[in-house]
Amino acid sequence: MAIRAKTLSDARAQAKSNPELAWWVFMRLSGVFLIVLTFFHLFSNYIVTSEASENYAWVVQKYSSASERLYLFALLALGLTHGVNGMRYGIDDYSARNPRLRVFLKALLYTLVGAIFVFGALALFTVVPLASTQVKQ
Amino acid sequence: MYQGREGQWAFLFHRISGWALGLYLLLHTFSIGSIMLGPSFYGSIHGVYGNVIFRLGLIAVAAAVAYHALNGMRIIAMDFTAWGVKLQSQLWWGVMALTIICLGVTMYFNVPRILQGV
Repeated sequence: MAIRAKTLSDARAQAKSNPELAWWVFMRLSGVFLIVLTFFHLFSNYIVTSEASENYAWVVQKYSSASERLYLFALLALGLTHGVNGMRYGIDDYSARNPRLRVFLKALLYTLVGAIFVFGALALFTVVPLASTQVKQ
Repeated sequence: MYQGREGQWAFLFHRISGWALGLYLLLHTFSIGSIMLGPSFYGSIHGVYGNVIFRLGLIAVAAAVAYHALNGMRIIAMDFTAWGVKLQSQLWWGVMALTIICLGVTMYFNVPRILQGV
């Protein structure tokens, strides 16, 4: 929406909605990418292959491919960002009358998602060198 | 629920499946990422997911993915096209039908594996 304010302070107040607009666009754009990425992820790891056979050696073998790691990193980053914003919408909707609960829930959510993102990204890019040292020992 | 028409169920299911998938993604990233902590740690987590309850739960996760993806396309159609708004309730029934087909395909491949323990 165009900013129609006549003073700087009014413009600032109206511009507050710009990040929300950017998130709105992001949810649709990332959603389209996630549909494609998730479809092939599930197809190869859940339909073609049984989850029961996906043991340590299987995952290390999969992670030895750089393009596979990049694919999973895109899925992780887009999925967590789409997910954290979607859950933020939920928290905003259901804790509107309780600001302290809202702040607590958001702090919990952002901490959890941030920690899991670091953990997952670290796993993607350290497993293959780690596994090769474990084989040597 | 306000009047319980298609749009409200579409919204409710989208929100429930979204929360389920968001929380599942956190758990999934932890359990697969635990590969970083060595074969025995990963193996013990992977062993827990071999339990039939978890394996049936994963079928539900796949169905939630199908619904959230298909209804997401319906939302995009409603946001950017006139026919998307006009046909939104019919599109929702299409989303439900395709979700059930996806659930059927997932079950066709995974129920025999669960019964045989492979």
